[in-house]
Amino acid sequence: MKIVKEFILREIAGECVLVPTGATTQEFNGLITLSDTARFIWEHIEQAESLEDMVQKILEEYEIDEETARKDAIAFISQLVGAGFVQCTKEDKTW
Amino acid sequence: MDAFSIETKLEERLVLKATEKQIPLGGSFELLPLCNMNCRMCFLRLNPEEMKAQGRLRTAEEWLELAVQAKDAGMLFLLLTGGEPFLYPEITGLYPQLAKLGLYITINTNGTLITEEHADMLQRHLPRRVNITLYGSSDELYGRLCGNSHGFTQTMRAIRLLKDRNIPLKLNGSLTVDNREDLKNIQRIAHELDIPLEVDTYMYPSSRKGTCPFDHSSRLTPEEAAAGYVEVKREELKEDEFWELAKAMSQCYYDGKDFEGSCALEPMPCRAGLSAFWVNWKGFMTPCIFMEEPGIPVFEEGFEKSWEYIRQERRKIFMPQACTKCGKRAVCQVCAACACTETGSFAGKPEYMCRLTEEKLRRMNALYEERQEKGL
Repeated sequence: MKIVKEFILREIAGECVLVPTGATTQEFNGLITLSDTARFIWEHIEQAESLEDMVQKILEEYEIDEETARKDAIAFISQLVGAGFVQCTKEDKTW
Repeated sequence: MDAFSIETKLEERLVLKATEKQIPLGGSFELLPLCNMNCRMCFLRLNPEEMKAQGRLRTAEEWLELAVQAKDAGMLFLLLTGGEPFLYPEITGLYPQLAKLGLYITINTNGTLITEEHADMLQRHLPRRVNITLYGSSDELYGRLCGNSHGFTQTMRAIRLLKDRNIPLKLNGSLTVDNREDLKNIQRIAHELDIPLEVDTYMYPSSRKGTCPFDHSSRLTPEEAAAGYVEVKREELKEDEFWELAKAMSQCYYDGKDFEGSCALEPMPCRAGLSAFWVNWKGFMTPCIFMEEPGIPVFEEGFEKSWEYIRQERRKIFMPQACTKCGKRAVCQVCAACACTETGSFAGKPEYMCRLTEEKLRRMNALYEERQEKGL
C-alpha cells in the first residue's frame, strides 16, 4: 500500500490528528482523528507487505485476538482506500 | 476574537481537552500594525513612522521559528492577522512555510490587497478559511469609513478571486455609526455570494499604547447596537431558532434576578491563556487581542516559557463581582477584556455592556410578547 495524499500526523491533547497539507487540502480540508490502532496502521501501512503482514504487526503490538485485529485492519484500510488516501501497489490489488 | 471557532463535534472535543490540559491549541499572530486602509474605529493601526518609533516587524524566519515552537507545544489552529496581513512584506514566503507544518490556518483580511498571486498561493495549500471584513456595500461607504474610496470594488474582486479557487470564505462585519444603515445590504451581498456572514454588534473600546485613543463617536450607542443585534439574529438564525432565542431571552428579562449573597471570585471564563494565545506585532504574547497585560516578549523568552507565564498570570484575573452575580449573565457578552477596555480595570462593571444587554432583552421580549399576543 502507498499513501498517496499529503498528511501530517500530530498528537495533541491525547488525540491523534491527521492534518491535510498541500494539494490534499483541495480535496479534504477537515479534521480527522485516529484511534490508537488506526494510528498504528497508518504509520505502518507502507512498510507492511500484505494484509496478513499488517495483522501480524498489530498482534505484535497489541494484546488482542487475531479476528479483532483483522476486522479492525480491514475496516480502517477499506476507509482509507475508499477515501483515496492510500492505493494498492500490488498488481493483483490485494495490497 | 478566536483563532479557532468550533465547527464540529470533533473540534469541540479537542478544544475542551486542550482547555482542560492548558495546551495552546489556538494561536494568533498579529503580523503587523500597518494597514492600507484607515478605518475610524481601528485601535491598532499605525503608519510606518509610528511603527518604527515603537518597534519593528518580525521577519518571516522569526515567525516561522515561533510557529514551530508553538506547534511543538500543541498549537493546531493559527490565525494570521494584523493590520492587514497581505501588507506584510514576506507573506508570500511565510504562508507556504507555515502551511507545511500541519496547522489549520485562518487569515483575517480586508481583502483589498489580494492579488492573483496571493489567491494562487492560497489555492496550493488551502487555508482553513479566509475571513474578509466587509465594511459596507459601496465604494462611497468605504471612502467614508475606511478612507479607501475603491475599497468595496477591491474587496469584491478579491472575493471572486478566492471563490474561483474554492478557498473557504467567511465575511465578517462590524457595525459602526457609519455602516449601521447598510447592514441589510451587507446581509444581501453575503446571501447573494452564498458566503457565511458574522456581524459583531458589540465593539470593544480598545486602544493600544502608542495609538490614538478609541474614537467613541464611531461606536453605536448600546441601544443602537442592541437593535442591530436583533436584526443580525433574524437573518442569521432559522425562524424557529430565532423564536426559541426570543423565548429564552424573554424568560431572562422577567426572571433574571441578581444573586444577593457573596460569592467567590470568578476566573476568566474564556479560553484565553488556557488554550488560546495572542502574539502582537511588538512580539509580546498576551492572552488575547484586547489585552496588553499580562504580556511577555515571546521571541526573546521562547514559546514554552512565555506560555507558562501567560497561563500563570491569567489566574490572577477575575470577572467583576457585579457580573458574577448578575441575573442576566447568561445572555450577556461580557468578558474580562470587555470589563478592562470599558472601565480601565478588570474589576470594573462595564456599564455600556449592561445597557446593551438590557436593551437586547427588552427588544427580544417585546417581539416575543407581540408574537404571543397574536397567538403565533
